[in-house]
Amino acid sequence: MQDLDLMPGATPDLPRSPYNRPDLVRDARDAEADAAPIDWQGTIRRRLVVLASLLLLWAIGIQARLVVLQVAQHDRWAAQLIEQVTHQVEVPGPRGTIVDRNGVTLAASVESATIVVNALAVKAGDRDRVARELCGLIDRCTPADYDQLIAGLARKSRGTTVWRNASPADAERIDGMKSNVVWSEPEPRRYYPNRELAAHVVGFVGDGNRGLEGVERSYDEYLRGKPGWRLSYEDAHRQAFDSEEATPVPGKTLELTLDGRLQHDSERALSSRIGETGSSSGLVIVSVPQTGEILALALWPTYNPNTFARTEAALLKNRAVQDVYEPGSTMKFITAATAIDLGLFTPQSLFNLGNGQMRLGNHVIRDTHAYGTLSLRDVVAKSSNVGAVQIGHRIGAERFSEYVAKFGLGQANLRDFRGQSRGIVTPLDKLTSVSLGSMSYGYSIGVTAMQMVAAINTIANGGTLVEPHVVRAVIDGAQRKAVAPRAIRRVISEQTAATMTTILESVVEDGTGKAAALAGYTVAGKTGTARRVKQGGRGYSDQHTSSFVGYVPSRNPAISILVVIDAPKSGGYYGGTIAAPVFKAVAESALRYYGVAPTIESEERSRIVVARSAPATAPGPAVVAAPNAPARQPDLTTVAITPGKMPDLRGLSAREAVRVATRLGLVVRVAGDGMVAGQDLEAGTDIESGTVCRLTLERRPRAVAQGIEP
Amino acid sequence: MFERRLYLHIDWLLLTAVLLLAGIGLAMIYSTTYDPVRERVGAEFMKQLYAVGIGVVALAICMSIDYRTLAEYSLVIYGAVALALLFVLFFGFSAGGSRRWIDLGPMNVQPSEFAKIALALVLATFFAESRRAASNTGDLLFASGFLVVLAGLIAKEPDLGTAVTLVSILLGIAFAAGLRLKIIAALVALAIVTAPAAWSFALKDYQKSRIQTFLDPEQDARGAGYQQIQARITVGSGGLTGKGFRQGTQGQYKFLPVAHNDFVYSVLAEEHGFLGVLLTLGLYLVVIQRSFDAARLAKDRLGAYLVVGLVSWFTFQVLYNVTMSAGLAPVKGLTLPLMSYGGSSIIATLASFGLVLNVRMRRFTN
Repeated sequence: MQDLDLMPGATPDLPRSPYNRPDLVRDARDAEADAAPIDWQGTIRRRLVVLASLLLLWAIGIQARLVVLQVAQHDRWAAQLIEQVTHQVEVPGPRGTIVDRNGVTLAASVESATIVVNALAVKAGDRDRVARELCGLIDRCTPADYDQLIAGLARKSRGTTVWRNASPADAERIDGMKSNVVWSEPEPRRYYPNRELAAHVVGFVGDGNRGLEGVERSYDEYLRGKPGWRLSYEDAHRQAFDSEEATPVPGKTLELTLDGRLQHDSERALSSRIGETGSSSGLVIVSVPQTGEILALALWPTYNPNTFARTEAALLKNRAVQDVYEPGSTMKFITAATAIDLGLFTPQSLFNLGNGQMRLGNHVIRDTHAYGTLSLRDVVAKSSNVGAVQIGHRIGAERFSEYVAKFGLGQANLRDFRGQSRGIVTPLDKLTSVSLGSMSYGYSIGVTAMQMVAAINTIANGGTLVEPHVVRAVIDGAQRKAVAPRAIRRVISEQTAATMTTILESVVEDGTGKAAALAGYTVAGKTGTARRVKQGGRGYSDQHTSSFVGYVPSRNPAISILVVIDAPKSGGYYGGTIAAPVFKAVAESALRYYGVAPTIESEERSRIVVARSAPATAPGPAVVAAPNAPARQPDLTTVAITPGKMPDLRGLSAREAVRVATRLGLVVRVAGDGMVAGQDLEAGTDIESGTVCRLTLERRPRAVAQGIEP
Repeated sequence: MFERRLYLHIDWLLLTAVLLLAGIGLAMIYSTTYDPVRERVGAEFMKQLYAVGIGVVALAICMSIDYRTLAEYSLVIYGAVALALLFVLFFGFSAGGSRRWIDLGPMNVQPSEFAKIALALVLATFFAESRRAASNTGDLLFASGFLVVLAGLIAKEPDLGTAVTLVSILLGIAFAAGLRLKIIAALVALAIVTAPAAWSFALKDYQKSRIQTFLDPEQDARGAGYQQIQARITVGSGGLTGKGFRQGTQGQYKFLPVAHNDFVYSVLAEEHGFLGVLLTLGLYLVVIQRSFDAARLAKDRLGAYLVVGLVSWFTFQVLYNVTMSAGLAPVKGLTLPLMSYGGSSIIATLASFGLVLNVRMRRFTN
């Protein structure tokens, strides 16, 4: 303001110094006024150009980036978007059920779930809290469950399975949380209601619905079914907003040839005998000679397939097809059959056995007695090793090899079993006189129990090798597809087979197998006692494998049975003493179940085949039941009739009761209708012709004990 | 002081571009918050609609009052905003872990948004009064005082994004006021030197992890890198022409968090593709360029610096948000001005452009 005031006051009189020249002063002032904030506009203009250029560079850069993202990589990101929205879960098809020939369930699938966590959604610090929370949601959360959960949460994975086999209720509670941390996925669990029963035939299922052993494995593709899927579209909080699904196809039902009752009896007979003799292990196989159907396959020791994961691996395998043993004297029926089929000997051919000793290579083989001279029939019946070697040498290596192969030894071709052993059979070009001799009485050869069963069935059914099998039918919904028995080849002539049966009958009648004799039935069989090879080494230990193999009734066999007991410690070691009683016990059960008519008419007893009203099925070829009979029909059984004694008629139909009673000369009075529920004369009381007997009939049959043994 | 002929000098192009962007923003908010199940418009849309209305009024007011008059009261305005921020720290309404809002019943006010205008005003006044041709260290330090108070209060909320935005205002004005190149060079050097120290001491763990995952988002796709990957998926799946209005799924299905807010640009890219993005980016460039023009043509330093200050924070946020939406910057809660959801933000932004228009239309008046 002062400056401005000065300007007008400046006089023209003042000397014209540069300092008082108003024009110059004004110039200077103008300069200051215009240029003192010196050219701020120039500065801002220049600098805005700089900023604008940088901005332009950025814009170009970001556009380039967007071209890359939206045009070049578009497909990739679009795919990723779909991927994170869609969640596909495989829904396993319910696994097929496994039943025995009577329809009893051996394996079934029950609803169950797998619990999955998304560990990435949980911070490390929160793991304990989350784990405790989840543990609270399920029934019976053990410390082990908790540890498994913590381990699962520590994994850097979107989906880690922490619990399997959660109950449907647990799964529902967990899914109820609608959490993106934890959820359940359906996974049916396998359940074996009869626990150890037939464990080695049935097998078990591992993770992912994969059969690992038994028919669960060999028929996995039938049982497995076809998995479906559920595709859900979910938002970031795992809330589904849309879904699609394909229903799974359930697996087929497998009907086994096994008979649960006989299986149970076989297991019990085997385990109690093993207990009595202090042996380490053993097996029983019951089969139908004409068809090869396995009715029972019992191994001891056994395991519970529900808890297979905690079982020693060695117990899990089906030793009847996977393990090899030296058959010992049971081999002699093959040796004898070969010789007879070749026409080299008849049962009456005589063998000079000398002092019961014979040199074979570096070994001396011995019989238990010095028999002197025996017929071929007695060589088998008394189980002479020296005789067997003589027969074997007479047959010769080439022919013997051929027959051994025809009998199925050294071959593994059964459809129903996995992991079969071929056995150990010396090939023809390596077969020496010594090994040929050894083979003749069951050494220097390894067979599986199943091969032995097939071989004895060949004799029993008239000379045809039939494939042993355990699957009777595959049932798909209402469609039942029966598995046809498979005859592999004719091995020996029918004549030879019949001759062999008479020889094998003598084993039980007056040979080494007397303990296998059954009242009322003719039994054919062969004992076997073999020294066990030393563990891991050469030579033989003083332990034995005791076995018995046979069939009954011998002339028209309903069943064949192989019993093998390893390393008995007490009660002897001969097959005839250790194994034959098991044969007898199992055979009695089987004959009773299938109502097989007695083949020996004893004076004091006779039997009449009748139908009792306890539900059961008979195996196809058993004598009294028609082959491939419908699954449910009254059990065919027998009533023991002793002349002069009152029989037990309860459970019989009126017609049959009258038939039995009239045969005994009784006068029958009947009250009511239906099945016989009571009789006024107690079973076993003395009767004579003309005695009056009153029977009470009822609609509902009372439970009656199977079979009556006087 | 209000003259009819001023209307002749309104920058209609700038005004149109600003309102267009606000309109596009509204459309995107409508799209992301629309509830397809109940067929209902989201509450956020209605709120934003009201806010835009208030913002337009604020724009008109800020345009009408001569900016030189406002500058005379700059310290008062500055003080009022600082007090409001102080109030927020103690009595503010908090959400999502930070205390940023004053609860005013129907609407929450976020004073930090208005702090940007207050700071631009006070700094423009300060630098305009400087008699030096080029601002020096002393000026910068003095001006920093104004910045530190507001930025400090805002950082304490915490709202680091807005606090950093304020820095851009100071740097913008100082740069336009001719900050010596030596000082600029020194600042750049200082930033480089202090970065590692800031990394180890100043940043919190979650902030560090954001930067780390930015460098490699796949390493933690479900954790800290999640939003970044989702941003890329959103933008990338949009393609050239987009999926169409309301056809975007990333926001709808909650994969992209706060889609209507920080990631509105990603949603735009998803629904309208590269072409939609190109159009909006063009509009933003028009807005910024016209604001630069307003600064260049301003009658005085005050006007020029004020415009530069306002356009600085605007540009900074646009740059950062768009870069982030394209998956090229660490995820930080910085909104896209004019388009993101946020009442205070849209009002403050529209008011700012009222001031920009104000300066330009008064370039011929005395």
